[in-house]
Amino acid sequence: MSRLSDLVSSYYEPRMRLPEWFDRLASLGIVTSDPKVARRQRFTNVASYLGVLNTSARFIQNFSHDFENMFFVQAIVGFYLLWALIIHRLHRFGDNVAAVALVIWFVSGLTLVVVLFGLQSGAQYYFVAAGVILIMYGVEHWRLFLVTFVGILVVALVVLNYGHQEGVALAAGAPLVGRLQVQAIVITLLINNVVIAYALVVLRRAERGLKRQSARADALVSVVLPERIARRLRAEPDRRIADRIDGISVLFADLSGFTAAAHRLPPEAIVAYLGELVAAFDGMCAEHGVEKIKTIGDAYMAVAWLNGDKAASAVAIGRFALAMLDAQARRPPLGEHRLSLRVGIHTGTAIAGVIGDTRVTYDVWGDAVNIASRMESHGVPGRIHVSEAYRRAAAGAFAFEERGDTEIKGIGSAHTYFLLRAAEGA
Amino acid sequence: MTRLRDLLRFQGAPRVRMPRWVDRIISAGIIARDPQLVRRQRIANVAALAGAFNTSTRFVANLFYDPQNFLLMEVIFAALTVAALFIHRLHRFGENAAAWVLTFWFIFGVSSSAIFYGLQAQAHVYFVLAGIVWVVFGLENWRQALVALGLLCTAIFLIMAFTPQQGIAIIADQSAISFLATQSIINSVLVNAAVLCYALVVLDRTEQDLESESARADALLSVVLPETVAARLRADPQARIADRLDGLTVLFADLVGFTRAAHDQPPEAVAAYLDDTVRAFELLCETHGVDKIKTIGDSFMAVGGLGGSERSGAVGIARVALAMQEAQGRRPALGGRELDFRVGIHVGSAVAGVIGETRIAYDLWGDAVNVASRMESYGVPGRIQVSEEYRTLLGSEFLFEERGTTDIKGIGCTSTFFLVGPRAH
Repeated sequence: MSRLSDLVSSYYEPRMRLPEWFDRLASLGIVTSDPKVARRQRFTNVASYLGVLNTSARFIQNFSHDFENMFFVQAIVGFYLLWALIIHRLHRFGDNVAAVALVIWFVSGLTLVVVLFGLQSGAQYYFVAAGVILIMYGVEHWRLFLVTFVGILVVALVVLNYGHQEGVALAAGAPLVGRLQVQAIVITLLINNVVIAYALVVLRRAERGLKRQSARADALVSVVLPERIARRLRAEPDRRIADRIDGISVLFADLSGFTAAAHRLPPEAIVAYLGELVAAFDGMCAEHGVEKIKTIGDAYMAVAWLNGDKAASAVAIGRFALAMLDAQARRPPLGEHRLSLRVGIHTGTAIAGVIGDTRVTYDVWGDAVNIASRMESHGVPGRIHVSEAYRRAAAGAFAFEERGDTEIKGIGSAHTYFLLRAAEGA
Repeated sequence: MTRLRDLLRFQGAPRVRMPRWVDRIISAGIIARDPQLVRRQRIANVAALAGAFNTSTRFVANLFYDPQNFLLMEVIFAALTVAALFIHRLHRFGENAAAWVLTFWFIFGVSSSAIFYGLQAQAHVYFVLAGIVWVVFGLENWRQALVALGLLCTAIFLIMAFTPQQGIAIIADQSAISFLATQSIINSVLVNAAVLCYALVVLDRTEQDLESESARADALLSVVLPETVAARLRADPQARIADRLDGLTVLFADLVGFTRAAHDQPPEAVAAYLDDTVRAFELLCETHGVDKIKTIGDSFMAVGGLGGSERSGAVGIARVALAMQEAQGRRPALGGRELDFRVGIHVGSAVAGVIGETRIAYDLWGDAVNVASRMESYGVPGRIQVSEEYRTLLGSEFLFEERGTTDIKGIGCTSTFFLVGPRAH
């Protein structure tokens, strides 16, 4: 049974919590309120920090090596270090400003490294990571990505074709060369793995969320409509649902004296009392194979129609009615009033269908419903008042007591009965 | 207005449809049903096809260059091409059979190229594509993906540490080496970008679907409950909705003689008549800013003043009642009978709340409801009977006609009025 309280909140899977300092660091300079843009910009920030790390490591590493023109090399590296450091401050100028600045930093930086240290440094391997840029731009900016990507391809082709094995600042065969190449391959490999794994983790979370929301929506539909009716509506949304049902048993149960008892009580107490009662009845419906139609104020309406088996339906609703009386007898009083149920049942013909488009209800109406309602209103508190038609349908399953002829509004004089208990041996 | 029928089925973001033949090629050999597994295996198929393309073009290029010198590599490339073309047939042997074979195929292909051409040809750059293992194995098989990644990293280490710049093949032409190197890097850039783009596009689509599905569920909730109540429940699902509300105007309207008229009609006609009536009623409620509470068979219940002031709710209800009467006059007969609304209105206080677990409903209980219901049941077909309180509230804006004193069950003797129409100014 789908419970409403489980369905109302759009519950998301708890995500892995990052340490707060990391979160703050990753969110530096982000001003947007769109969570998707913020996510992209955080990604750009983290990428720029990795750039800072890489450049500063290079800056320090350079001191341990003797370059042709150390001052010139270090000035360039220092400039790129500063550039990477201010990337996060660019978000305020536009969604993709920081990302574009980082891309230019990346491409021009790589080109410079190839010029300074030569193709032997392996810096050109980093070009392989160019696809990562799409995360920073977002899929919706695929045009910008395409332009950038083609630009990078052109730069890569130029660098690869016109670059020399040895660079301006680093002669061929220097001891640093092998290390630089391994470094370039390993870092590119790492970046790729992290990015792909990250995208897949987020994707999996989104797919799980989607499944949950789908189930939630479907469950909400079944809170409103019986599942078989929902299925028919799903298949043909514009088809009107209206079925003539013969041999349906209809039950009305009213809390007699409820209005008087509720008069001076706080609303929470009243709704709590009714809510618990109705929840208990709802649970019993499922147990007895009875279908709840609705509550009308302090009245509860249910029907039974088990695959057209008139007798089985009548028996099911009779057992349900006895269980209702039993449940009500064990409930605490409301205020000072001990309330009892007045139940009416009838078996007959009705029309069942879905009416309306907002506050939609699956409803049953027709003679059977009217007579059942009259059985209830002309009944006696604490007893189950049934029509002759019902007694005949459920004969053998229950013990009945004759009430005699009763004058019933809209029907005239009718012979009615009280349902007492399950028959011996039934 | 949120319509239930629009919400029953989920409509996701439109998908790009690939031509049938592309779809067939990509899905070759896949027997799995789990959509996520199918997706992984399709990626493995595409990767295998891309690999076959790469090795076969290499094979052809070598034919034109120096087939004698490259004979060993030609045999290897031919074998790799054929092997790649059979990878899609491995899916039947297990979820990850193709992924594993693809991993070894890749390691063997790249390593042999690196050994053959030497590091100078940069074939080892292809190894940076190793991140694809996450896509073909799937996150759920992260252990296997890690093992595959470990194997790839070992291969990289061995190749970079022990392979000479100059390979087995003696290539004198520096431009040929440069061409090979460029090709390795550009190919890697392209393949890598394609994989990332694919992953991100799928992610983006899924997130869009997630958003619209979540919105659908929220909209469904407001089909069941008034929006204000739905919002309160969303904020706190455990909250018990129970409010004592004063100054509520409650309307009951009953289609007099409906049951008798419906008696010998086909169910479709009866439901159609009722459904049209209810939809018109819903529309009127929306237009005049009052809340439909429910229909009870052939009688309707609405309440004004839930969101706004007592007066605006009372006025809205009066307009709905008058418009209902007017619209009903123009409706066709049901089974040869003209049906009239008998309307009852009262203003007072009630308790409003949500009860039940299934077929839940927002409902009202209390004096306002009981008196309004009596106003209806003791009313006159085609007329709108209202209580004295209601007339007092709206006496300056609407015309009323005194009915006199009526003895009403549960209330006693009380004077009631008929609502006639708006007062002309």
